[in-house]
Parts: sequence; structure tokens; C-alpha cells
Amino acid sequence: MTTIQQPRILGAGVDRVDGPLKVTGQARYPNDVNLPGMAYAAVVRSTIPSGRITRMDTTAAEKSPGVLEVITHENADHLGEAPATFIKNPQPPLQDDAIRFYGQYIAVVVADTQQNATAAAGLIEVEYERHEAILDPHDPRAERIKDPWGEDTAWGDVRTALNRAPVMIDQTYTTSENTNNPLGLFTTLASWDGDTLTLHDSNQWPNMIQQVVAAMFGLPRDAVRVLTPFVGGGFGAGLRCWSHIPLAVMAARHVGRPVKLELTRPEMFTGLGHRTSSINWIRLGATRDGRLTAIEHESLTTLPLDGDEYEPCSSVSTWSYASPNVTARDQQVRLNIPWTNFMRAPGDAQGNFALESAIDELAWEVGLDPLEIRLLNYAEVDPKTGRPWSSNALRRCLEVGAQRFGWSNRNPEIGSMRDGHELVGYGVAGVSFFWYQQPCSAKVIVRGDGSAYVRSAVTDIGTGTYTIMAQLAAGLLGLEVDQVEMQLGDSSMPVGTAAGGSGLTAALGSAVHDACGRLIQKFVDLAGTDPFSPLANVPFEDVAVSEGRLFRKGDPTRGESLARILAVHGLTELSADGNSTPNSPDQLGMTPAGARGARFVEVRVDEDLGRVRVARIVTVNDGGRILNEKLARSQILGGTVGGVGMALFEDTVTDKDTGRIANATFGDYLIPVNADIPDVHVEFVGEPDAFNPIGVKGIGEIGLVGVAPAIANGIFHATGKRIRSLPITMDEVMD
Amino acid sequence: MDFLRATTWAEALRMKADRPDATPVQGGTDVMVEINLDKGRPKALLDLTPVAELTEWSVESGNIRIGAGVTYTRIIAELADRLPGLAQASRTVGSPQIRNRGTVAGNLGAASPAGDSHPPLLASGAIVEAESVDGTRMIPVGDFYTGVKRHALASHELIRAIHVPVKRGPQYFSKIGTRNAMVIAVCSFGIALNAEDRTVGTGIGSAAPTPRRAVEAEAFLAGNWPAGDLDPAVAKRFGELVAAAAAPIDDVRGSSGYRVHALAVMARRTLGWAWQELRNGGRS
Repeated sequence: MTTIQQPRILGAGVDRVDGPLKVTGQARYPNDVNLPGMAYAAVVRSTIPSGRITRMDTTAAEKSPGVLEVITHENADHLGEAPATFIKNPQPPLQDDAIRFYGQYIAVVVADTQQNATAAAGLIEVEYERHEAILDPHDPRAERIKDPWGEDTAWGDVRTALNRAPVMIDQTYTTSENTNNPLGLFTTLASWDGDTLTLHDSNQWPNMIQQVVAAMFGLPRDAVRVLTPFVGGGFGAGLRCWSHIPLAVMAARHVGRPVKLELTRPEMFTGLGHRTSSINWIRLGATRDGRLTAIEHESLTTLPLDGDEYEPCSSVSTWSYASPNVTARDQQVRLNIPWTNFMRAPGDAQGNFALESAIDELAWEVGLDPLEIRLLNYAEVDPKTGRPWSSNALRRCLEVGAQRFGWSNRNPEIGSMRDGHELVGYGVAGVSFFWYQQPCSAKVIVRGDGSAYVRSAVTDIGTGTYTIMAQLAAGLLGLEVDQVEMQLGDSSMPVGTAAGGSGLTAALGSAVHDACGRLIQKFVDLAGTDPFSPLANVPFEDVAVSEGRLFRKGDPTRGESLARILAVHGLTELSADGNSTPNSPDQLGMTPAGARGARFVEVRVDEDLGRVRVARIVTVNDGGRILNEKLARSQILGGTVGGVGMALFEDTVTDKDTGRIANATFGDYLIPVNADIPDVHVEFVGEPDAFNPIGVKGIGEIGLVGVAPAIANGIFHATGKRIRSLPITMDEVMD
Repeated sequence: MDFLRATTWAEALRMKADRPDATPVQGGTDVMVEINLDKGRPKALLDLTPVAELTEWSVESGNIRIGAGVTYTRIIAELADRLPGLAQASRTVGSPQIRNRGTVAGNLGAASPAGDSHPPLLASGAIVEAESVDGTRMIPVGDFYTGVKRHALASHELIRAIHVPVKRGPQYFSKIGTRNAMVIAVCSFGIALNAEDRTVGTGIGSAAPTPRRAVEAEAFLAGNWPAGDLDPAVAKRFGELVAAAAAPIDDVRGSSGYRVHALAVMARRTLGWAWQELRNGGRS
């Protein structure tokens, strides 16, 4: 489409367009919304992990001040099945007496105030028939699911290659359960108006909530409107329709008033899923000079009794390094635990820790520099298919990162770099992130004054979607960024996909690109019908756009503004719909590559105490075309902090006897604080990606990946101690 | 839950006498968190924040008398020169917001073994001034802690103040947490070398059911009073005796074995700092 120039405002560090709203408190998050006559809900959760409810006494709760309604499985509405949306959604709550995990919703109390609802919720008496719970992934009674997604992969002959390999690494790497913990407490405000329903709801995919709620309550999809213009973070937690949402809807129907249900922090630990723990068995075969001959990667992750989860930890081993023989297999095991769910870089975060630790072990085994071994086994093409990558600047990430970090100053000897009683270690890890994109749509409208607005049902979870899409549309329409108004987070707008999987920028951006192209075409066609237009008889291919004007390429004087074209034709606005679907790898003859990255970390280990401090981090990433370097940097920084958390702190602890999450508060579930985060150098390299028309690769998740293995690899360099489980504790380092 | 608010100290004492089941609340940084997390629901809260006299400190016969409402932030800003150990520990409490609200008296009232102010209070021989309508009791801080989150106050008593002796000589505090700030101690240690009478004070935190002194370590070091270079054997023995005084458990923050080990390291390190300062003839 020749009218669209290389957009000049892209890449610039434009400030968030929603920044002023957020810092002045005018951005209305779901829990900020209040409606006339609104009542408040509080949930009651099970206190056993497995069994059934034999008796519930709600008498005291019903008599408690301000209480409007108490709903249990005995008086809950019968709801329809929750459809799967890419993955399964929890089936409707309160439909039977079965308890599948500790913390399952067993009642909801509605009252005139939050305090009264919460107080009454504490008065409900429950008796259970307890069944033996299965909580340990190694429990032989637990149901195991092999090849859960039909994605187990093998090529070559790994067995033979491993048997013949002069050098072999055979190790097990484990990661703990982590909880997403977005700062914004997930809230649903449900409001019925006859047979139509409006939800102000915290989620990452308004159309998904709309679809699932409509199905459960037997409504046409159009009868449900989901509003999520702002959400206080998600990190994956908002990618399913969790059970508190239908609870709020049911409660609102029972009391005939709008009902707000805001989860508490402890409820956020059981109600929104969490990152599965993982066990990764890795076997690497290599030549004595460090060239990989085989990679075998098997993983075991966890599932709740009645859910599913896509967490292919082993898949990173199928695309990260060149190896003639590869086997990658995943298994899942069902336990009496709260739902496992996507959390920033699902599968990749755990699998990359295992693979990048193993590659580091191989480097030490064969006496190669850990950076060298990664370059030696570089996947120049997709190792599985032999196809070229749509883009891949991992080599550049590693080289630039090494230079910025000063990798050449590293003394390869273990424990050789000391500062007082601290041992200094350098660690590196490479990251090859998965690729993901789903269909998406958007509408772009130019108004009579020449300004534009862009609409899509998708939500901006804080990543900067509002801003980069305004930049993109402005660039494509020849407008300034402040001439483009963004309208997102409303399920009644053009159907949008999830803000997840690092896939939204490519999906929505391609839809906006499509819509803008169609819209310019409409303007050109319109001008062509006006014999007095300077653009009359100018073919579409010869038209360019800038400063709100269409003009003939090479002759900027011969043109007409968008506003004038509308005026001449008596139009108040002109719009176009845009759609995007992922391209076909077969047609393009290339493998779509996700983002790529390299992490360089300096750790300092107190040799007497085992305390690990991260002293500095260099993170270099290839995200294809970077639409806004300032916001992209924020994404990588946030991911890096999450990576430090995964490496050193985050651990959702389940009590082995009761299945209760033992540390479900921010006082006990530790995430990094400012004092834990050192200087972080962020840099981008690479070229526009060839797989989508705007050249982007999502970077919302990759920042987290690779931080943990780089830290663990640094600890090995500092101490000679190989830590193969996350989080890394002082006890283990001292052990 | 009843909410009682005292405006004067006399009124607070009367209220506590009438309602011995009332939980006093000052900064609320422990009490309100427990209530919010539903870890118990006191029958009544006795709000002491309006009691102005509690927010003052004064010098009384060689002691600093710290009112029960004096915040950590003020201890750091106003008393660091005279009570360096307590000020160091105060700096490690929570976040600036917590330090702006939290008090040493609150730390004593909660009596958590992990409370940050306990080791320096033990090391400097502080005395808790407890008061009720029946009068005042002076409780040496070592006798104050009676069990995990239990203390020696009678049900009708309130903490009026803490008396902390001002002593010449170095004081240090060290704390290990799983992260670098806003963290509950895995274990902690305080040391005071009292230059005038050549005595030694210690305090161990988060490594026994209650905060406690390492009495044998104190006696050993007093018998090897700093002169010349610190003999590594003395430091090692001191660390061993401190570690031997602990009786830690395994929990989510750390194993008992790690705590014992880390206490010995912290004891050696803080001794090294204190020894150096003593040799330099003042605070370096």
C-alpha cells in the first residue's frame, strides 16, 4: 500500500497518552466505578482441598446487619456451561457440593456495605466430608496427562545421539509456583437492566468475558457489555473468566441491584490462577568442543482437577539452538490445587531457566565461555523446519549485550572476582521467545475536523496499547498523535483479541494498519469523484499522506486535506473497518519468530551468608520494529523485575497437609522492592519483522525470561554452586 | 468490635481497666494488618493516637524515656546520636510509611520474636514502663517477652514508655532478610560495647520463641575486652556462643540451621565493626 509512508512518529519516546488521566486519578478502573443503589458482595471460600459440603448454616449471616442475600450451592441459579476460549474457563460456581481445592468459592454474601458483606461472610458455618487430597505432583494416584496439546516434538534420533555423545549434561531443574499479583484488585461490578447486563470488570480480554458470561446466563452475546478501559495490571491473570465474575452477575440478579465484588489480596491468590511449578528434565549431548548433538527436554507441570492450561515448558528447546536431534515432551498432573494459569511468559519462563542453565553447565563442562557456546550453537534458521526466521537478532542481542556489560572483563575462574566478603559472578542467558498472534479487528474514523479516532474492544493492561496505537494510526493517517483519540476496552466495539501472549501489538496493530489503508483508499476514491479536487485522476498508488493532507507524491502542493474532502462531500466523518489474521508460515516460507533477547547479570554473593544481590543487569532485546522506545523500555524493565522476583523471591507456598496457600499476602509472598533492583540497562536491536505488515514482535513478556538463569549462572561463576531450583534461597547457596 | 478512643493518658488507663480485653492501637502497623487479614478479632480496640503525652521523649537519669507514641522515624531523626543501636534497627523497619506510623512500644506490644527493635533494646538493657490504674511497673526488657507474641503486661496495663540507657561505646545492629527492604527478619542481632563499665550487651531476634540475650557470649566478650586487634579466635568464639544461645525453628523465611549459622556470622561482623569503632575512639 504505497500511500502509507514509513511513519515518522513511530519509535519516538512519546509519553503515554493515558498518563495524565492516570496520574490525576481520572482513569476509572473497574473498582473505581460506583453505581446508584449498588450493593457489595463478599465471597466465602472452602477450607478443605477435597471433599464435599455436608451442611451449610447461613442463618446468622442472613440476620447480620445490612445483608440482602446469601447464595450457596443450595439456592444458586443453574448456569450454562462455560465455553472454552482458546483455553478452558472455570465452570460456573456454586453448582454442586463438591470441593476441588482449598479456597474454592462456596458462597457469596451481598449487603449494603462492603463491611457488612465481609462480616456476614464470616458467620457462615460449613461442615464437610473430607476426601484425601492429592497435592504432590509425584503422587502416583494423580492423573497424568501426556502430550496435553499434541505438541510433543521430535526430530533426528536423540537416543542414539545421546548414547554416542562424548559430553552429556543430564540434570533436573525445578521452578516454584508463582502468583501473578497484579496490583489492581480484580473487581466485577455487575448491573442488570432487564435482560441486558453491563460489567465493569478487570480482565485482559473483554470479548472473552462477554462470550463466557453470555453463555453461562443464556443471553445473546449482544446483551452483555463488558467495560475494561483500564485495568490495574494482569500479567496473564485476566485471560480467563474467573468464577467471581458469574458470582457477581448472579448476585446482582438475586438482589435486583448493581453488585460490586472486589477480591481481596488473599483471594487473588486462589481466585485467578497462578504460574504452575515445573520440573524439567534436560539431557544435552555435545561434542568435546561444545557443539550440540542432542537436546532432550521433558517437563511436568500441574493442573487443577477440572481445568486446563497451556504451559509447554519444553518447547523452547525446539527453537532456541541448532541441534540435529531434539525431543521435547510435556506432561501435566492434576492436583487439588487452585487453577494454574498463564503468568507472564508461561512455559517459556520455566523452560528457558532449565535450558539456559543446562547450556551453561555444558559450557563449563567443555571449558567454553558461556557466551561463546551460545553463539556456537546459534539457530541461524528454524532448527525444526530449516526455514528462515521472519527475523532473528539474537546474535546481535548477545554481542551488543556483552559489549555493554563488559563481559570481556570476566575472569573465567570460579570465585576469582571478589570484593570484600562478596564473591562476584557474571551470568548470561539467551532468550528465544514464542510467537503468538490471533485475529483482531479495529475501526478507524476520521471526523470532519480532520482528527481521528480508533476503536477496538481490546483492553490496555498498562502496557501502552492506547499510546502505540495512537502513534501508529497517526503515522498512517498523516496526523499528530494528539489528533487521534483511542477508544478501547468495550466489548461492543470491533471484536478484539486478548491482551496476552505478547500478541496484541501485532494483532491490533495489523488491524489498525488495515483499517487506515482502507480509509485512505476511501478518501482517495472520494477525491477522485470530485473533478475540482487537486487529486482528481491521481491514482491511489501515487498518493501520499502527511499533516492531515493527501497529496501527489513528489508534488506536495497538489493535495487536499482530509477535512476538506469530507466537507466537499458533505460528510461528517468517514470510517473503515480493519481486520488482521496471522499470516501463514507455509505461504510466506518462513517461521514467525517471537522476540529475542540476551541477559547479562552481575551477582554478588556474600560468601558467609549466602545472600545474593543482583548488582547490575544488561538486557538487550529484539522486538522487531519498536513502536515506542520509552514504553517498550518500561515493559522490559517491568519484566526484568519480575525475573528477579522469579529468581530470588517468588514462591507460592502450599501447605502440604491442607492445600492452603500459606503465604497469600504481600507481607509473606515476596516480590522485589526498589532496594533489590540494581541499575538495569535496556537496549533494543534488530530490524522490522517480516511476518506482519507493521514489523513488530511483542515484548510484553520477554523481559522476564532469562533473568533467572542468568542469575543462577552468575552464582555458579561466583561460588561454583549450581542452583537448579527456583527461587534461589540463601539456605541453598550456603548449603 | 468496640472502638475506644482515649484523649488523655489517664483516660486510656481507665478505659483499659474497664476493658481489659481491648487491644491498644498506636501506629496500627501490626494490629490493623492482623485485623484486615482476619487473624483474630479483638473484642475492642483502644486507640491511643490522640494521647499527646505519649508522643514525647525526654532524658531521665541517664536514660532516654521514649513515649509509647514516638515513631521510628523520630527515633532515627532525633535519637540516633544517643541510641545508635536502636536507630539502626529502626532504619530497617518496613518502609518510610511504616516508620512514620510504627512505634517501639507497638513492637513490644506485638512481641513478635522477629520485631526489629528487640535486639537493641536487649543489648542496651532497656526497661519497659508499664502503667495501669494501680500504678507503674518497671519491667526489664529481658523479662518482658514471655512467649511467641506474648508479653508480661497484665491485662489492665499499657506501655507508657521505654527507658533506654544512654551508654558510651559502639552499638551495632544487623538483620538478614530474604530481600533488601520491607522484610521480616530471618534473624537479627544487636551488640553494645559499654565502654564505661566494660560490659557487653547482646540481643538475638527471630531465632527463638522470644527475643533473647546471648548471656554467655556477653560474659565471654567482657572477659576479653577489646584491646589491640580483634583476635579471630575471640570473634569466632563470640559467634559460636551467640549461635548457641539461639533456638530457632524452620519456617518459610529460613531453616533453623541457616539461622544459627547466620547469627554466628552477624555476631562476628557486628563485633568487628564495634571493635574497630572502639579502637578508633569514637564513631568512625
